[in-house]
Amino acid sequence: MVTAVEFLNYTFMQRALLAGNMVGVIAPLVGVFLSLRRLSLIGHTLSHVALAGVALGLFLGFFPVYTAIIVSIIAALAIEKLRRDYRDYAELSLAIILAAGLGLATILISASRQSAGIHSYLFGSISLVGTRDIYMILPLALVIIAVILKYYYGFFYLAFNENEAWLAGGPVRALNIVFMVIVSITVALAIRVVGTLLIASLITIPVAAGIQIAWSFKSTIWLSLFFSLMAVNLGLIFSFYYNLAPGGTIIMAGVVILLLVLTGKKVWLLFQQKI
Amino acid sequence: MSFLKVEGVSFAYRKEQALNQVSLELKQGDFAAFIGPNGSGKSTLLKLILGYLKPTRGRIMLKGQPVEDIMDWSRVGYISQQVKDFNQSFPATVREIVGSNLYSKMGMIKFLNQELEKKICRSLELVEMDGFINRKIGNLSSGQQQRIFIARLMVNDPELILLDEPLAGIDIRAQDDFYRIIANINQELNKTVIMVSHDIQVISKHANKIVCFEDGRAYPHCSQEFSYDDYIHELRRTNLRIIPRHDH
Repeated sequence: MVTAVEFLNYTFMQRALLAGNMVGVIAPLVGVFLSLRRLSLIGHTLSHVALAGVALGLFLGFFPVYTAIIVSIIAALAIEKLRRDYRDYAELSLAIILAAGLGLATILISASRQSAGIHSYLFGSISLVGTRDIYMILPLALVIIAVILKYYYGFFYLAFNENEAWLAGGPVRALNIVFMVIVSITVALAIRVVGTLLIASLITIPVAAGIQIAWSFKSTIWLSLFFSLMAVNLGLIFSFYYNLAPGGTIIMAGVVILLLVLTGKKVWLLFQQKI
Repeated sequence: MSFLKVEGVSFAYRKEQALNQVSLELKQGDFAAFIGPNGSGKSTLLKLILGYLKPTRGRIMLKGQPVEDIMDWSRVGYISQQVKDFNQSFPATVREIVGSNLYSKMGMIKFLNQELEKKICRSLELVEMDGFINRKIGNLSSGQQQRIFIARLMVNDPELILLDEPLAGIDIRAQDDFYRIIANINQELNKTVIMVSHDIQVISKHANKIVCFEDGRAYPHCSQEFSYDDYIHELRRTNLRIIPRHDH
């Protein structure tokens, strides 16, 4: 029994679990609204831009999560502006910003002398989650949760029908800006745990599983949270015992959960038909 | 004092004139129908009444107050043509959809309480959908969904209700139900209703005022003086171009 929870004895693992669980809460929270608005690609784009932010931090010698947050917020606001100005070409603007982010990241990484550390930012690292990361993730995650609680119905209205919310006189522009800022912060905060390449998956996979069996919007949120925390904790434990990058194990745990949910749903439906 | 007064309102989208010197007045409890061909200015006038667009000339007053000064927009309920453009597999219940319009009344960490829950139930009773509160919105027929959107609008107890072609793509039976519910809201609750419609034959049975739009001009008529037959006759006589103004 003692060996089963051996990972809890290590301080670095305690930090990784704390950071991971906070990210595991905020990622599906913003993910539900993002996925239902069919804007999942924004998460993917911002993660690539966040990588440019990390590279900028490494290049300039700043703490990379700070620069990742700043660069992601600027990119998120640019995406929001382009999405408004080019309504019919929203995907095109995302593709351009994604490519620009990755291009900039590549240049900065190759120009940086500290590029060896980039690996942990690409795929996540449990051993590198420091106290500074915790001090960063904890308050910002609480702010994101507070913002979502505060604007819950506003975001809900936007997710349900953005055009109509605008026509019904809702403060759509302000809500969209607030939303994009919390998405970009979420992406930047998740870098340490899952890595830039896999953040978008943590935002979408638990939600994809939740939507399959949800009976209401609120239940979609709770189920997505449950699946996300399950994936994060299982992934971190696997990462610890098998010395694997946590980004990969967390996402694969999420994929297995999604497959189980899909199979379970199919079996349940077949069972119902037979009755 | 008139409930809604539109005085010499003109509006242009860039250089294209959409409304030209439109004037009309509605009393509290009126059911006005805006009819006319596409692009004749009906929806533009609704957006001007809602304050989304600003008139290039003239002014619009709601209960003696210019619409641009109105802060509490829950006084006006609006259903746009886009209301049906939502993801049909969106995982939300009828309770959540109707309750979403109460967000201005909810603060931080304050979700639906008993009082707000009662408002939702009352709104659903009004549209005869009280048994559907826990159903997913996407599992309802389009007629039922439209009634849920009316309930969402009524949850804030608006004084003025604006409906922009709410019955497009809805079958005749569901349309009858819809009109019965709107008539009930209009007559029993004394709510002022403006509805944009193409179906002159049906709406003229329900509305007490008909406003015809043609090329950015509005021609208000009182249905008692100007029947549906008169309207059709005028349309035929003028070859769908100009409808004479019947001042009363």
